[in-house]
Amino acid sequence: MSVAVVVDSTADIPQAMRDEYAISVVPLSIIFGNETFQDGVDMTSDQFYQRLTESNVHPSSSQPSPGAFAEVYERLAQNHAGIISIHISGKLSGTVRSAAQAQELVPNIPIRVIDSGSVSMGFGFLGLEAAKLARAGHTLDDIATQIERMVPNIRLWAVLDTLKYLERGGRIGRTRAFLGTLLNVKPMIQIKEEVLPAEQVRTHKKAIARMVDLASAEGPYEHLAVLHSAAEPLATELANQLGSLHPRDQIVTAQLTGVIGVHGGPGVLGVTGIKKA
Amino acid sequence: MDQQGSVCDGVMLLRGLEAAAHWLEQHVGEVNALNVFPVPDGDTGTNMHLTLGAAVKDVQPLPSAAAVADQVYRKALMGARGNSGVILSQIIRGFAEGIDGKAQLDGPGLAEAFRRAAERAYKAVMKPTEGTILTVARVAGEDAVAAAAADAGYTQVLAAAVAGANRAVAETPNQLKQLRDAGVVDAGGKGLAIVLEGLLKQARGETIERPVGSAAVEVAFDIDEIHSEDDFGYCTTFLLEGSDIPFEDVRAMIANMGQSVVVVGDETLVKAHVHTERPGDVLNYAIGFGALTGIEIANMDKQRAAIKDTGLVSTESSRAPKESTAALGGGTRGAVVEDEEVAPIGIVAVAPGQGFVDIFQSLNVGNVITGGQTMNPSTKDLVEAISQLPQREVIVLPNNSNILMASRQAQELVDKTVRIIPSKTVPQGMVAMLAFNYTEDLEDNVAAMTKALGNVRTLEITTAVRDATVDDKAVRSGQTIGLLDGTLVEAGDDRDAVIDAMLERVDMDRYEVVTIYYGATTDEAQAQVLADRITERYSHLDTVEVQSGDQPFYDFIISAE
Repeated sequence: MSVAVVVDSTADIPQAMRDEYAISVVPLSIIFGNETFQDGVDMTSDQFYQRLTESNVHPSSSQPSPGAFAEVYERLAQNHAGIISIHISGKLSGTVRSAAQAQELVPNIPIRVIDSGSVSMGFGFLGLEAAKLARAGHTLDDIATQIERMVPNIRLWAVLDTLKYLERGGRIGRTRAFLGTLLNVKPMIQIKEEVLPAEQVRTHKKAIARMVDLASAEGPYEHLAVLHSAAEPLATELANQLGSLHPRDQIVTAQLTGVIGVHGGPGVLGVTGIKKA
Repeated sequence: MDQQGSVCDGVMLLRGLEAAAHWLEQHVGEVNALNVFPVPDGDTGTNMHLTLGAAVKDVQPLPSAAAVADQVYRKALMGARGNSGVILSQIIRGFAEGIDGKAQLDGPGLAEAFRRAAERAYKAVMKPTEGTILTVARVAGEDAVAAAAADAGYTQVLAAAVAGANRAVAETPNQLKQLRDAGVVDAGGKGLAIVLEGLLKQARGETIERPVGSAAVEVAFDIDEIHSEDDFGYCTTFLLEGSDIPFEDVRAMIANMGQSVVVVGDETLVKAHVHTERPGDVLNYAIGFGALTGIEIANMDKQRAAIKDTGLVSTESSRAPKESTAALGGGTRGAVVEDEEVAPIGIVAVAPGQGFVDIFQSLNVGNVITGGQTMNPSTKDLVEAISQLPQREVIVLPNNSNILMASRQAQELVDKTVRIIPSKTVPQGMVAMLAFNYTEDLEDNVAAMTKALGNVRTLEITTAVRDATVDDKAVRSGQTIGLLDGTLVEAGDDRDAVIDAMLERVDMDRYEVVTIYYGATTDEAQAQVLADRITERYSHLDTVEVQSGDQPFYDFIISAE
């Protein structure tokens, strides 16, 4: 019996990859007024951004309950030797704590819960790596050790169109440094456990150039992805420019899921990678 | 000095330097008029005078020449303004080092001090150029050494130095093409020769008084006593220097232009303070009667809001004018960001107007010094701004080539790790600040910010303050002139035509964002008209933005990035 891999919906792993590696996804919730949606289940990313721009109601997000995790763990326990459950940074969401509580509710299988300190494909890649190791027959402890070693190697930069959504969602953190800027600029952030201010750029063209510079300075990478929220043409341009850093056909393009969109808003463009050890 | 003038002690040295400061003060206008470029920027004579004035202020008249020189050079280093002031302060430093502990200076002692002074001057600049103050310092030292070798006493050596300095000054046009073209001698060199002349006059027993009416301290007033709770608009102060200023008319006119008006002075020097919604109008009116210096414009509405928000007093403009040097030279500081967590590296920037101050503060620049064009901050202003920040690592954005040397001098005087980004214009400082990365360390930030300077072109539009010939182009006083990245490239009678010609010189296809910062001499509506014209002509631009810079003298500072 092999090890099962669980992530939450903020991992943004494209559907085809999830299917190929049999990765289980526990959805967070998106709340528009009185309506609640399962992130990526009954509301796709495209539907979310459509609604975000059309609706007057500002959405919020909420973490999965321990029960939701326990249900998935129980199901996987039936035909797996162990479970590795990898999640969005504990400083940005309570998701990883729900998973840890569920771990206690399901004592009949060894479970390792890992706080990735990142978001989106930043930890989506950890899910893929874990699944590959599981397929190769590694033990749960061995997989967990290797994945934990990768956590410090995650890099993620993103440029936002506005800080409005981060501020509303209470995730502003140290990026409050960017609030109140009188010039028309776009804030660039880095995610390292929390949202950190990086620098400020005036156009998307410059944002792309700077993200290529920053990513290149830290490379090379095992995996590289471009991230976007309703900004696919920009993501394609960014991926094309990262071609000298990483094989173009291996750069994953991921649209940020609705839960991340609640906090980042539309027009986010980012790059994330796992540095080669 | 003894009866024969063969030696000089500490008290005599101090009296000599004070006389030199007065003699230079009498010649400030003459030295300023030697400036080659017709731009209304920090003038050599003013900067050297303010530096020497600060050097001799409150010095203890100790009997030892070395003890006096030691005090003077330390004050000179802190009081230095502008590149010429910094070089003068280094000359004074070398002079003090050359005294080497001696209580009395004889001929050879003085010659050695001059020789060391010249050495320091050459070390102060990265690429020494002949035909400047450096040459004058060197020739003065060489002639002093030669006179001392021939057994000359203190006064005779000093006389030899003055003769050498004057000869070197006269030679400067043969050494530098731009001086020859402009038909002038080097301003800094002339300033130094005047300083030495002042020393000699005192040694020969002449009395040199401060020029009547020209001392800012004599027309000073206490701004604290003028301000009240319901201040509004812009607190505007300036000095107006001229020859036949119709003082009563000027006072009456300015009184009609705003609130809390105080105007003091005479027909040669006026100090004015006014609260007005339109500071540009007041300055435009006043400049018709002479030269403006020490301009300070503070937005009182914004200041009050800042005090309310942060509990911090946002500028020291209320205390700066108490000191004549501060009143003449700027040095207003903005609110200190006491948030070490948000910004692990502190930033100090120099900005020439309240609008720029606000923008830099909004970009988390911890300390903004008001200054730049026409009012170069002193080394001391920079030292204090750096010291006030809570961070141990500080980056300085001088934003003006004439503040670069004072920044480097400040860097050496503070007990913090300081890096200077050589920004020569405010837009350069702006792009450097945008490139500041909160997650990177000091060295990476310095590299990225310095690299960013190359991503912007700066177009500055101002009015020529004197007739000049620059690169075979004749410029008349009063014409609109355009500077591209600090170099004068266009002049003409029609401002729009000058701006258009400037834009033609920039390969606009390479740029995406144009920002127009309008100054105190123009307004938002005019800037918007210009913005519309640029948007229409260069349709590929991503953004054309209008911002208030509030800078004096420069109608527009335009950046293309």
